Amino acid sequence: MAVVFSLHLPFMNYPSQLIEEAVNELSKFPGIGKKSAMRMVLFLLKQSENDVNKLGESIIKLRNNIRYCKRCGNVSDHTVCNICANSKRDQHLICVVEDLRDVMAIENTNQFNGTYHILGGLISPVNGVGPDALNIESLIDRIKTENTRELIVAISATMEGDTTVFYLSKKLKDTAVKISTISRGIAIGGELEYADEITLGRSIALRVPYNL
Amino acid sequence: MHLQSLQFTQFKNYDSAKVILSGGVNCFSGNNGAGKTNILDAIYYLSFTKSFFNAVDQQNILHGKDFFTIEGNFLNGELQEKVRIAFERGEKKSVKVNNNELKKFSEHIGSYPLVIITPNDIMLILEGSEERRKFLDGMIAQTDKIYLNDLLYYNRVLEQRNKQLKLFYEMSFFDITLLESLNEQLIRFGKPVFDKRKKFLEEFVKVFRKYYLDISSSSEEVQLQYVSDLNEKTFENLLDEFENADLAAQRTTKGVHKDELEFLIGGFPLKKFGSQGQQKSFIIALKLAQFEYLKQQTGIKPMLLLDDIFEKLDDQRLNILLSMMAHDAFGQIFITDTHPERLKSVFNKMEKMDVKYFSVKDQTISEI
Ligand SMILES: [Zn+2]
Repeated sequence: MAVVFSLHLPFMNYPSQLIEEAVNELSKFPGIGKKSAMRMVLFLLKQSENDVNKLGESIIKLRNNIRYCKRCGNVSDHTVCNICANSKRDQHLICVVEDLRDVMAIENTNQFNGTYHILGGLISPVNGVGPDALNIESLIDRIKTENTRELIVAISATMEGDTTVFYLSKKLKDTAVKISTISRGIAIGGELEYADEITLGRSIALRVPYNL
Repeated sequence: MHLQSLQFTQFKNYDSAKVILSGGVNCFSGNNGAGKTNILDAIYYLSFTKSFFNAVDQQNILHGKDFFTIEGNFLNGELQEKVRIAFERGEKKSVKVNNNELKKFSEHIGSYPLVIITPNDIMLILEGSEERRKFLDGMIAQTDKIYLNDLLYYNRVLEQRNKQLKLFYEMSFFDITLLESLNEQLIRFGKPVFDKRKKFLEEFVKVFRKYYLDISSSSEEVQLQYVSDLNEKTFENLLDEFENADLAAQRTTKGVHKDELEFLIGGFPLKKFGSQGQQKSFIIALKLAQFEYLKQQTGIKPMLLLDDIFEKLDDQRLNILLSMMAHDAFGQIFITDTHPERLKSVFNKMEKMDVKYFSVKDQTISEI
């Protein structure tokens, strides 16, 4: 009864090269399998040409025209983002996060009045992401030149997240900056973006010193 | 707790099947290759969210089909609980308990404790240390969800660290801070794994010895020896000491992934020095001790799956098992055998028992 399938056995025969190509591209999205990609393709085919063109153009414009803040790595329409340029915000307090979603989530809590630093990912050798692929050097430079008082590490308590936090805190050992992490009301293995606003707001307010 | 009904579609050699089960003994008879063992594997899936025999979900789909489903209805005290597993080629496996999708399968392990005894168990003695580590981990994980979590994290950090060691080698660079960060993580998850394995075995070996004496009717001393790099030195020291060796080997040479569980008889390796009979007794004693340990820890009699034991066990050991059954030592039992008469003649003698007989033929299961 040992029936062995090839791992690469195609499970769909596409009637058109165009469909196959679109499915292949869409299934590159995280969490999208080939079946879901196929549903998206069928949906697109039912839309008006105009609507689909708008979608296509917005994606191309997004990729070509996006700019990042020189200082913190946040998405920005100018060289320096609105948060960095806002003199009412505490410029000596930095909250370090993985990506844009975390900035949006924390901003929504209205509990934080400092600036951000966006790493752009987490250390994961298996995925080819080392420290040099992230905005870590620029963070260290920033802390040294800007006389940063405190660094809040708001990174998901996942395995990659914790490795990144270990790395950061070791790199910053010799600076005067005070390091705290958001209090971990967030479950181990929990992603920051899924935490509800109350939990996240409280974790920022109740941040704790980070002890190595 | 027991499994009241089981149904599956496009699973292994079955197109679809449904059985209403006894809370006592369930006997499945049929020719070799008819699919008796696949029924046990479906039950194993409900408990462990994966196959006992083939870890690749895809290969458990009926040939030529795209998905399989397995559904079991449990009675847990007064509560009805439905566990449903679905796997579709190219998609993520889905496990639902009472229609709620599980985010982490590791949280499910141990909810429906199970012990399986199969002819394959002899591999525990014959194969490398990985088999024995898996057996050990499986026992602890069924009663300790944090253990399973730590172990899964440990293996992921290990993979990250090994990859990084390879990258250091291939790209000819070194970042001590990065390696230290990975070490911290490895220690954080490896240390509790070591502590729990050690503590578990101290207790478990006592139960095991008791069963071995019952079964073997001889008095040679048996031992489960936990061999770990961490027995001698702290994980921190090991990683420091073997840093250069790890860099040269491009992988992590020390840690709980190298642990060994040695089976000893009279102080000597069972694989080399144990007779066939002693090896069989050793395995059965291990499994019965596992049953007893799970029962003590969870307060539930685990489901007991017995694959082809009439073929593989000699009369002496079989009689001990049967007499335990007659004395109500177990809960719900699932047995497979090639001879329906043999099953009937055994269980007809046990009057108190609620026994159901099923015949397995041409991809159908019918009660007889
Ligand atoms: Zn900025």
